[in-house]
Amino acid sequence: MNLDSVISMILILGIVIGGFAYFLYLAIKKENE
Amino acid sequence: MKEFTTEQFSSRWGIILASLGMAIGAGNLWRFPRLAGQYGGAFIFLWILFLFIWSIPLLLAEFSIGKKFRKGVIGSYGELTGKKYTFLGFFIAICTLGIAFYYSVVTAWALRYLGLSVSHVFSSLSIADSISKNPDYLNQFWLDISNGSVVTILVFIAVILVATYVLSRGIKNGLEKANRILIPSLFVLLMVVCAIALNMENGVLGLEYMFSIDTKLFAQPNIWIEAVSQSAWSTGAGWGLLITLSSYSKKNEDVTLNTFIGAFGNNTASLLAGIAILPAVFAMSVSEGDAISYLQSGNQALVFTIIPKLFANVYGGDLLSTLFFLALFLAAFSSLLPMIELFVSNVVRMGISRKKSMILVISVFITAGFPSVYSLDFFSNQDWVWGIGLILSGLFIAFGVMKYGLIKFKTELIDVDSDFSVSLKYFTACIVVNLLMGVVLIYWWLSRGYSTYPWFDENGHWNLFDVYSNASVLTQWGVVLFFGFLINRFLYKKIVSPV
Repeated sequence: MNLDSVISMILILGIVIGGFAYFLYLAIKKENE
Repeated sequence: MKEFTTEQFSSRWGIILASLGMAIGAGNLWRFPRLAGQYGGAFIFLWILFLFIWSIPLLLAEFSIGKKFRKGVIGSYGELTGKKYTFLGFFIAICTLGIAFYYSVVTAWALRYLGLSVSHVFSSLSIADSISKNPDYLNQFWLDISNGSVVTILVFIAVILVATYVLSRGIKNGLEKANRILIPSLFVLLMVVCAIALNMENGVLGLEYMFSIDTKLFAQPNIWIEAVSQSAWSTGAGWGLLITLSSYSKKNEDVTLNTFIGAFGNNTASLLAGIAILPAVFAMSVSEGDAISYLQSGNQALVFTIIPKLFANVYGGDLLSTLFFLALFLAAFSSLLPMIELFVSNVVRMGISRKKSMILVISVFITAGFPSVYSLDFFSNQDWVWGIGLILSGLFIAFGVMKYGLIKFKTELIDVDSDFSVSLKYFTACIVVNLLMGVVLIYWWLSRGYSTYPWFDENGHWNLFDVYSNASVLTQWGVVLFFGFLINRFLYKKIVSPV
């Protein structure tokens, strides 16, 4: 894979999947409080 | 004033799973891979941009409108904007129903392909044999299934009946219970399919293509239109579905966090679907150029022709093909449920009991969905008309928020029970930008004319029956708006403020 694709893949997956995981974590944390 | 007893989701996870179920559907598994394949990383970049600019602000608005007014789409919109503009809420509801009628057909296609996978029609031997005799075999197979097949019509009717049965059990026992099984299963299945596709030879080339950004594409208007309409289509922004679902949320439900989970969860599912399909196309094509030209053709049948071929080439392909079409069916079915609920909630507010409204659902959905299950051209026309109609629906929601007062809306409706909040500047800027952008995008799209004869045919007649003509789109939108305007007072009296 070329470097440009790797960088954009990391950014895109990081924002989207990372964001989803983070918001889920917040919700679980709130429910457990 | 009449009082309506409103059921509620049993917990926060009930509404989260319902909004994920609503958002994750055919838009992720059937529409997104096609568009990501057509334009590559440039499309994905714009699609994420529009998640923040278009979809999240509108979803925040929709969640809070439903939670505050609890009257379904037409009723809540009428409460938000006042008597004069209730017909705009009617347009939002009809636009979503326009999608729901052909969406039930996509659900039926998924179920049909699931059945064919289970019965080993796509087993490697039979597929390889058929393709060697006729290379276009899978495409023709798809056209047979999607154009007036009696079995597909029967499956379509069965889908409507089962969905109606689930909803007849109510929100907690029907919708919520179904989503508790459907959504986690869907994510697991998608991850399994991704892992298989990426492990195929040349699969990684598909990943490289998917994430490489060709900046020249940003100069093309259609990539912007496709990105915003895909974001709206897939997240459910502007559909009014979140207004419907949040009508059943708890009174102190967190708007912001739940909306973000739904929006990001939806985009995660889309990316997983893209990572499953695009590498598969590269793995199975004779050359890289072949794969790119196939993807750039924007073939609507992408998942229905590629997946059977993909799994015919791997060990245990029958089982994997079954898993994929099961995922597609679950996704489509979990999105169809809130669309039907949107219809039910408005009918119930007109004084018809929930049980009787189910009979109405069956008759209306079967009648209105029939032309799409019978003709692929009619289906494509409806996808075009109401898919773009979502931009208009989004504009109407943005207009409603502005009419209520941007600051008042944000502080009173969105922030009131939210643990964290987005900034006021971000929300107000996006709503204002969306209003302007929506108008520009619609004008831009009309001026391009996607049909050979966008307005008048070669004989000078209004080109109403062309699949992709501007004339067809504007006529259908116009009829709904005009009819809504005519019955505006009736809608307000019956749905918004029934005596």
